Amino acid sequence: MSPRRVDRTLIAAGLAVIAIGALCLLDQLDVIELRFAYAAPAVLAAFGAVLLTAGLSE
Amino acid sequence: MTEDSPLPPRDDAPMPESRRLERSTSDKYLAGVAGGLGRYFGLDPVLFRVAFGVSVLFGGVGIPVYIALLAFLPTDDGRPSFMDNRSRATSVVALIVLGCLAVTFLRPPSFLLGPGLVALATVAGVGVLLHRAFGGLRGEDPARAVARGTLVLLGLVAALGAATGVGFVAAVGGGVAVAIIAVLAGVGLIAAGVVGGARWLILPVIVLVLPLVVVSAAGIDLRGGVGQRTYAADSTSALKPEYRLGVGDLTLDLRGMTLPPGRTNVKLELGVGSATVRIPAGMCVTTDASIGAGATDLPDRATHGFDLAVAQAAAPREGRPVLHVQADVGVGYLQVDRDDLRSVRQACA
Repeated sequence: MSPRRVDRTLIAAGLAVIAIGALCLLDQLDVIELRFAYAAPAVLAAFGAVLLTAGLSE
Repeated sequence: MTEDSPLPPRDDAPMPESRRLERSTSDKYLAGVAGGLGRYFGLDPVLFRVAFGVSVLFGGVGIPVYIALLAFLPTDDGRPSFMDNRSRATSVVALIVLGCLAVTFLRPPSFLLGPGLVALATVAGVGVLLHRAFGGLRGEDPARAVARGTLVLLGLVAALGAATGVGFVAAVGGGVAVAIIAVLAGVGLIAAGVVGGARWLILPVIVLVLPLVVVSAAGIDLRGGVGQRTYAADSTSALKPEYRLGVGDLTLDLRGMTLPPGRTNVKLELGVGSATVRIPAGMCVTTDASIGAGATDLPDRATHGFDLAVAQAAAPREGRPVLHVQADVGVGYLQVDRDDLRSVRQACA
């Protein structure tokens, strides 16, 4: 039986989604006020982190 | 008991027939396109018929796609396609026309996110050109390319439809639930990564998260209904505590109003659309507006962009009547329209 291979890209994507989801949750609960000025760079940074992880994992 | 040894391949054995995308002549309701797609991809043709039906009902993009497949696919009884004997230039022109037709079908109000697809289609077109420039599609079966494009287009429409649905749920009060689901989806991705799951799982999570980010960042609140609402008031007693609309045009006509001394507040809440407050000449008006994405047209000030926060204050003399407009717009346009061109300072002097 071959060992399962951990996919770092999926893990990085999961962490990014948790971070963005947490930001949105805090905004929806009126703890913070999310704005495009913060949300757009956060989303782009998350995409970049996932792409970097995918590239480094190859 | 003897064990049969596998026979070596014979040179004269028939080669397995290569699978071609063709219109079915046996499983068809219209032209056999769905039947052919089902056989080619090993799926129930009903799925393609439902997909075409849904796309026709919601925007109609399935019509040009169906026409394209009808034009470019041969039938499984050996008859060539309509475009088989046409020149390459004719084929390219036909594809461009059908592509333009598809994009045209996607405009509002048939499909809310239609205009956005123009940009996506442009990006996709540039991508295809680059791919071809590097020889990626050279020699590929045109029918297969059309089928692949069809699937991508249908997938794109489905993704945008799902994203619209997620955004709508978040904007009508389900934002907390959608955010919790997003966090759980992130945990699910990590779990999938640990056990070596498929990477395509990222795509549906993107469809879930991006509209949530847009709704949260813009502060879109769609509670309040849809449509065109026009209100008028001629006295403070006729003013409502709040004017709220989810999607549409909201107009508050105060041109017949005489303000009492001091400050009179008017509050507007709009999810997506335009809000207009009409006031008579000479009325002193101050504004405190927040707009996620859009534009404002106020006395002395016109702005546009993201995260707009406009605070127009004045220092009127004691007892001067002042109308104070508080507006919270998610995505859209706010206008305070006065019947003269005086500045805030002049009007409030």
